Formats: sequence, C-alpha cells, structure tokens
Amino acid sequence: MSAAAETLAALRTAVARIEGHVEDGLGETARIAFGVPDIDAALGGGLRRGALHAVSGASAAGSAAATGFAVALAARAALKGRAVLWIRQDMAGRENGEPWPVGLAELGLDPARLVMVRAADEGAVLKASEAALACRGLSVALIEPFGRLAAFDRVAVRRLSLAAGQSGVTGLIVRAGAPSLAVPVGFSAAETRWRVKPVASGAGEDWGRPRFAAELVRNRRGDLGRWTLGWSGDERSFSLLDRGRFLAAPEDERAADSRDRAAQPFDRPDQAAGGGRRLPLRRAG
Amino acid sequence: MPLAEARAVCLDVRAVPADPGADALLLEGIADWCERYTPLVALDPPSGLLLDVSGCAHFFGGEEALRADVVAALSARGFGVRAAVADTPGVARALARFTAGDRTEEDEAAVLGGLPIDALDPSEDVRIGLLRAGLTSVGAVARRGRGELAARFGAALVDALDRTLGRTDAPISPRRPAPSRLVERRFAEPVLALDAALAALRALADALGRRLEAAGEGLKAAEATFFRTDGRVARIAVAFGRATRDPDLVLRLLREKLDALADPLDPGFGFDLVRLSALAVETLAPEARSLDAAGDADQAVVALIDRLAARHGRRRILRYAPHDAHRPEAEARAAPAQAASATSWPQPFESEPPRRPLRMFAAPEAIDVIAEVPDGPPVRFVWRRVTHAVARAEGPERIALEWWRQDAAALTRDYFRVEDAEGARFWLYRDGLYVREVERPRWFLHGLFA
Repeated sequence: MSAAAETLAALRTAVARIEGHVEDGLGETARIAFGVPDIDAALGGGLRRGALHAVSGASAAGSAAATGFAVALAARAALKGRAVLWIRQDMAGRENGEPWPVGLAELGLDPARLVMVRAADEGAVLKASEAALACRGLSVALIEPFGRLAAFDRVAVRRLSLAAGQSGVTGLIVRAGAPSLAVPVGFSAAETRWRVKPVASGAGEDWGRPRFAAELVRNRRGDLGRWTLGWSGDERSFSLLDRGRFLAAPEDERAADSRDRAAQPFDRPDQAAGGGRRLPLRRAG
Repeated sequence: MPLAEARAVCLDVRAVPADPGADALLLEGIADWCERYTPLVALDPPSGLLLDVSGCAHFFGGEEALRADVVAALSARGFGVRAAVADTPGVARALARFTAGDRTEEDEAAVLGGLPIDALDPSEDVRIGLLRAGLTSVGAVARRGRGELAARFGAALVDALDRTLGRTDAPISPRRPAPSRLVERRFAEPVLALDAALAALRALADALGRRLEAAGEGLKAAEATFFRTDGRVARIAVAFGRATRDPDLVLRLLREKLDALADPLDPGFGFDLVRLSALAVETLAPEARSLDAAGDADQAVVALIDRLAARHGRRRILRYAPHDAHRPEAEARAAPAQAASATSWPQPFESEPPRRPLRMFAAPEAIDVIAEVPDGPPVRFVWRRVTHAVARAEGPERIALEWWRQDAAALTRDYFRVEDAEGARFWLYRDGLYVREVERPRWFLHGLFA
C-alpha cells in the first residue's frame, strides 16, 4: 500500500469513528441493537458503542433487576473473545450482593471473559473506570459505584465518556440500589439513562425468567419510552412483552436536564448530520 | 555492673533504659542500608550483621576497601563499628567481635588461636568448665582432641570451634532471597527529584530488559529499591500478569504503585542509589508481534490488569473459575487475575429459568418468615425491615452440606426460589431440617435473581 493510500485509509477510519461508525475486523458495529424494533427506533439503531450509559434501579428490592438489565446489555455488547470488566465498590457488593458468576453464565454473560475489580471506595472506582475505558482491549466495562456518587460529577463522567469514545469501550454505570437518593448530577452526561424495575412473571409453569420494566428516562438524541422486556440468556435476546406509551421525562429528570442545559455537551459526533440518516462513506475505487 | 557502681567510676555517665525492640528495629534499618553492598545480608542479633560479599567486593575496589567503606560510612552516621572480612562467616564474625578487624600481615590462624573462649559463644556452664580446665583461648581449646571435647562439653562446642576456625563453611541465611538479576545506579550527588530517580530507573529497566532478552527470559515480578542518603530504604514491588521486558511497562506500573502509596515516597535529602531487581523471571521466547486485532486486545487487557493490580492490589482484580462443590457459595472461586488464566465454564442448561442468583450475599442475611406448613415455602418474609408477600415459590432444592468437612456446621439447607408481589425474585433457604436437625430452623436470604 502506498503512503497516500495509507493516509487515506487512516483518515477514513478517523472520520468513521467521529461519525460513530466504527468498523473493525471483529465485526463490531457502532450500535448495540436491542433486537426490539421499537427501542432500536428510539435509539437510532441501538445503544451507541464507545459511550457511557447509566442504569439505575427503581426500588431497593429490585437491585437485581437493574443489574440483570445491565448484564443483558453487556452480554449483547460483548464482542467475540473480548474481555468484560466489572468494577464494583466494596459497599455495593455488601449491600446488593456480589455478582455471582454462575448466575451471570445463566444470563448469557460468559464468566470466563469476566475480570472483576473490587474497588475499595468511590475514588478507586473512578480511577479504575478511567483506566478501563481507555483500554482498547475491552468490549464492555460495567461500573458499579455505591452511595451518593459525589465523585461522579459532570466533569468526571464527561471525561469518562470521552475516554470511552476514543477507545470504543462501552461503559455501563450501574447503580442498583439506593433509589431514594438523588440522581447524581454526573449521570446527565451519560448518553442514555435507564431506570429498571422488576416485573412479575406471567402465568405459566416456567416462571422466573429475567424480566425488566425498563424506562428510558434520558436519551441524548432520540425519544424516551418505557418497555417491558423479557431476556433469554441462551439466545442473548430481548423480547418485547408490553409496549408502554411514550413518556415525557419525569420531574426529577427534568430538573437534572435543565441544570445540564447550561453546559451543553461538547462532543456531539453526529450533530453535523442534522439528525437525518447518515450515509456510510462511499468506498473509493 | 550496677548503675551505682558505674556512677562511682564515672560521674557523668548517661543512663538510658534498655529497649531491645528499638535496637532490633535499628539493626533492621542498618541491614537495609547494607544492601547497597550486597543483596545477601543476614542479621546476627543483637548487634551484628553478616554480609555475603562474594563477587561484590570488586565493585568497591576490593575486600579491604569495601570494609573500610562500611566502617567509614557507619562511623560517620554515629555508630561504633568493627568489621572484618574473611573466607567464612564464622571466622569473620569472630574477628569482627574480638579484633580490630583490619587484616594484618599476621597469620590468620595465629590471630584466631589467640581469641578468648568467648568467641565460641559457650553457655555459662561450658565457659566455667573450660576456664576450670585452664583453657582460656581458642587455640588452647583447639589443641585438645575433638572426641575429648565432645565428651566433656558437648558437640555444640566442637561445632562452634569448627565454625570459628573456618573448618566448616555454614552459609548465612539472608533476610530476603537474592534476586536473580539486579541493576543499579549510583549517583555522585544525591538526587532530590523523584522524577530524576524514575528516569534513572527507566534506563535501568532498559538495561535489565536487554540482559533478560539475551537470556531468553522475561520479568514476572520486579522490585525498585530507593536508597536515601540518610540511610532510609524504600522498596516498591510490582508483578506482571505476563512476562515482560518492556521498560515502559515496568515504569508505568512503578508509577501506578507510587501514586497509590498511602504516604508518598519522600526523597528527603536525596537518593544516592536506585536499584531494580528481578524478583521472578520466566522463560520468554522472543516473539513476533501479532498482527491480528484479537492478539492486540488480549495484550491490552493483560496490561490493564497489571496496572489495576499495581494500584488497587492484586487480590482485588479477580477472575472466576468453576468449582465442583455442594455448597452454592463454593460453586465459583475467585483468584487474582494476574495469576489465573481464563477458564472455560460449563454451558448452563438451556431454556430454563436461572437456577442460581445473579447477586449473592457473601454472608446470607437472616430474615423473618411466615410459612403455612413448617416444611413448605414461605408465605411472607421480612428482609431489611420490608415485608415481601410471596406470590410464587419453587422448592425446595435440598442441599446437604459436606458432612465430611470439619469446619462445616453441616445443616441441610432447603432452598426456595420465590417471587414477591412486585416481581422481585429472591433465593431463600431454611437452615436445617425441622426437628431432625434443629428445633426451629432459621431462614436466610442468600441471593437475588434478575
């Protein structure tokens, strides 16, 4: 390959990366599709890779539902052969229970690929997250801090999302317990934010499959919504059980959003396209 | 001599209470400092140190020069020192304790012969016995027959005699194992900036890497040692998940570890010596860089694990391996990710609801339960002061604990998978069988399902 062609290829990759189309040899796509047309439409094709997404539990007893939803997303996002890092604060393990590899395997996340980081406190979680999101070898980093999350302010979370954008690692901040505490301000810097509640099993013998009432309460570029989802660990696929109506952002979200409006996000990869459909770059020759 | 007598002899004698603990600490500190001469330093309490300087002396201009250097440096720091160099540790020890230590033209054997019997470290009985027999010097003792001595004073005395005269060469037992390789840099002027010391370490890592490459080895664990001019010694050890020779990686991990120190490394009046030792090495064939992305990704993850382990401690970065056990909490084992490689997990049963919880409590939490029948599933339970009405329950899954284990309290557990009215799913168990094992079994919440 001549030097000019090499430069051209590098530029093309760079542009594709900026535009949010990351195409690697591993067959990774820029979006993590839910496989549920409704949600994928709201998200513009799925959750964006190389970005930060926040998942919080809506009730104390439902902390496992929020974890399960995040694990399901991670299982869908995990690329072939790549490692998944789970950073959890000691308190989160004590309060919500330790993530259990046997259960993870049943939800479709292969424990062989999992590396667990037991961080002592919130500061350690943040430090480890920064290192993890900058590591190109990972596919997903699950970040599970505990408490008020004072360290996860807007600047910190934005720094994390920048790192994620550069490396292509998808970050999932999980806040399973503590629904009574205010939403950390930093979460408004995340690409999407989900609130997850457990859902009672339907009638039938075979009850107990993972089910979530997932509410998309913040989406930087698209609609919000509420869906009841089932998850199959064998097939790693969601199924839509109940379609909710579209929702305006709830009160506390609005407050967080308006506060955020003063400082508009500065990394807006696909704003240039004007919200329309982005065309893939034409191949030369 | 009692203090009063001593005061009578010398009026302004200064009395300080004995503190053997502090003395031992000080000796350790001096031993640390002495590691600048050789990595093999052994303690000889209460006040001695043994240095194995085989192969090290020429760095300091010969054995005599080394001895003079030790004496001068320690005297300058206010210690009273006597030192001697000899072929065996026993001889050196005796010479240092009972002579001025500097080698004279005299025959070594004659000097040793003239030493008092205290050089043999005799017990009080043996000492009195020797004096009664008129044996006042080592030479006099040595002239007696060995059998005679052993019969009269015990084999220990003969051993001590052999050691002191250099007939046997007992190796010293150094405080820490000798590294397989080490590189160091001495500064003519103490270096005050930590960054300058780290730059020197980078060069050392490079040199060490080249030497390891020649031997076809890679680092698994390394230690950086900072010697301060005032004698303080700081050690920073790092471990690698995969053997490496990359100086940048070594330095990155050292920096990571330095950042995470509770009290930062204080250069004080400056470092005059930095050293990098290879604590553990492994065969590492020179390999071609892999061109595929998967290999790159793998390498990146190994580097990340090393970095995280350096900062947070290696026991906090874990990988899980399956383990065949009855107890549910033993079905997976966590091991430091640096040591463990990825193990494959069995495929879970298809198209079944999860059998094991997603989150499990390390210590199962006690709950209050109302059950319709003693053996049946709960109807209602209280966990963390919240009442949950059970809408669905499945069980029991009876798990008998390993009775052959001594430590197990060995109560049979009946596990129930339950769902409350809101849809939250729990994993509960009753600890013990009614009447057969316990009068009133207690209930615990062990985990949560998604």
